[in-house]
Amino acid sequence: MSDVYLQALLSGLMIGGVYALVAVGLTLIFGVMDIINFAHGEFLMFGMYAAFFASVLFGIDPYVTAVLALPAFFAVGWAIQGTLIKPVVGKSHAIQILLTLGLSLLLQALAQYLFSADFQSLKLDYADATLQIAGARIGWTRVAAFAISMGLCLALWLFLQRTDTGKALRACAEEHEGSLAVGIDLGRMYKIAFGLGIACVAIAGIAMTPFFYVAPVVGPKFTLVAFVIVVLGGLGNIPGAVAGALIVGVVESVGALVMPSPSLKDLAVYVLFILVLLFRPQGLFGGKGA
Amino acid sequence: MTRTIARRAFGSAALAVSALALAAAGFGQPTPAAAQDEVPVGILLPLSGSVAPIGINNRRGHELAIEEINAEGGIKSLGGAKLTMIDGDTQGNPNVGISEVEKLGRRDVVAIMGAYQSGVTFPTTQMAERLGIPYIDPVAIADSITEGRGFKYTFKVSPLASWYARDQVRFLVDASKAAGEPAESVVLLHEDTLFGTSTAEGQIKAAEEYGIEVLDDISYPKDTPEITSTIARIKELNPDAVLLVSYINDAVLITKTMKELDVNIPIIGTSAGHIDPAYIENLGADANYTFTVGEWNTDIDKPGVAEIAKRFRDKFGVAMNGHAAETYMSTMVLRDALERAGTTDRDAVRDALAETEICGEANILPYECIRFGESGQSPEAQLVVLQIIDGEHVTVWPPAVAAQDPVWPVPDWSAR
Repeated sequence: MSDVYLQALLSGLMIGGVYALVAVGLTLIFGVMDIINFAHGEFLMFGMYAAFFASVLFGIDPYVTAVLALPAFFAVGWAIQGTLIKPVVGKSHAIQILLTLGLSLLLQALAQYLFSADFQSLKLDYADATLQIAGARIGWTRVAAFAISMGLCLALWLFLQRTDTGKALRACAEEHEGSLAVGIDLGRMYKIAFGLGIACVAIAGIAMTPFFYVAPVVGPKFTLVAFVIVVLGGLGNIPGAVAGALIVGVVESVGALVMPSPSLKDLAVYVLFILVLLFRPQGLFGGKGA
Repeated sequence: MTRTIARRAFGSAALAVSALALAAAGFGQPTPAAAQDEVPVGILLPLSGSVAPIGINNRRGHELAIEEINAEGGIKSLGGAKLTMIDGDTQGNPNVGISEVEKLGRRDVVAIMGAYQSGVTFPTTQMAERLGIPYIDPVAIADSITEGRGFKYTFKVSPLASWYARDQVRFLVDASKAAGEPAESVVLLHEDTLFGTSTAEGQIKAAEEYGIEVLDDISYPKDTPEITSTIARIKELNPDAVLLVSYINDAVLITKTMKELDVNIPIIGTSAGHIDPAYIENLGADANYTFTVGEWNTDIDKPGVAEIAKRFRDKFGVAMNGHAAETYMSTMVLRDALERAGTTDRDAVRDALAETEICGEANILPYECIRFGESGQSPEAQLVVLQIIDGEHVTVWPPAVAAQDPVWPVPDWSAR
């Protein structure tokens, strides 16, 4: 029996790692711009399609695509911020939600039009390789997704802590007017934040492609999970989002075993979510800018 | 009205008499057209809306059958009258379906065939019953359409929903016995919407009936991104087979995860995701050896099946599937009833349908005879079990129509 729990724990950590990269993008955008990006999962989906078609049409390995995707999706995020999101920054949350929710629907419909509604999967030679730890087995592609996600989260955190741009981003997160007063170009910071957030979530999608399926409808599930994680970890808190993601991954996975039925595994996550909202509304790891 | 009918129907005294009788009885409904050159047949299907692709494919079976019937000289007992299709588009909506039945009734159709979705078929059969229009259900499976309603005008060619589970378990018993190691246990794994949970209830009953122990009944949230821990639990329970009810994306994820965890337990799916060609496209060689129940397959070992499947493909450019086979056969059932009735009077056609007995070569469905019991259900109807072999769905059960023997037990992942 212990093998089953070990398996659940490890699998939960692996998927939690991917959740972390999705959530970090969401929390960064929220922290800097005060906007909740409901179209977040759709960029995950476009990342998956990028990896899928790069591999099928041009024979480019998904892990190569992941590297190329960093500048590409950063540019996409930059452009979307500059055109669509910019007008609603600082406006009421209702307007922002309508905009990003509309963008989510638009992107789903666009994907359905461009790529068809069919579920598709990459078939890679190395996808079968598995790592054995005691009685548990983990596909190497999952380990790779975990490693890529954790690595990027760490890189992002270092970027925010150590570089001038990173410090400027954190300043924006803490105090918009103060940042303006010291001469930080807010518009540019917003574009960088949105670009980084989109690049993170797209790379999370690409890292999943070797072991997951691709379809226009995969996004919302991840947006929802990421939203829960961001609240758990504290809105705008990056280390909090990573910790929250690993917790959610493990709670889901182990919850599927200990709850009376695996369909209740989401219940475990949402109960945790509600408890946090009730007793620690600033999140398990404190609020914004930490 | 009476005069018109009598004039046109002079070739058939019986018809004239029955039409006169109907008219004389003063029924408040339009009398079915007695024109001998054309017999209108109502086809009630979702031809627009989200399920339209399936409705359109169902319609192809009717279309092919009617084309063949007319090419062979129409309905001979009606002086060679040709069948014509009158479409009623349900849009996948029960309310639209009901009003379409009324419209078809006014257009003098001799019978209605449809409506693919159980949720639409259930209320539309009720309306047809009230209007006294014979209604043949080729595809919709819900038990409630025929069972316990006492309807006189509903005839169901498709198997009951509960028989999917029954035939999964019968196959498990047969295949494992043939391999010399009778199966003793199963684990049920199904998605947690109505489709999954209701099928699982049937599986539990069927397993009990055939003496198979259900080690666990596991439901999982549809579209889950992660199912590893559940698969690990199944690995530990180590049943003789896993009975699955999944849509395509979950079916793909579960098979991938089973491979990752090296779980070498046979998968027996319940149509849906496992019969979808996308299952094979997504998994490639890893799809091999998966079992699924299905309604029909083009390789069924019955005379005539291959030719009909070929005509279908030539005409429409797509492979014939179980739905199309059922709609094709239902049209043949109606033809047979019209021939025997020798009239387009709905009550006479209803009585003829009740006496249906289409056996052997004349029936392309995977069982001996199409008949209708008291409830209107075809009692012999049954499913087939398909196994994916070399990337193709191959019929492996029941033995009477199987194209080859099942590969049982399935080889280990490492040996594939």
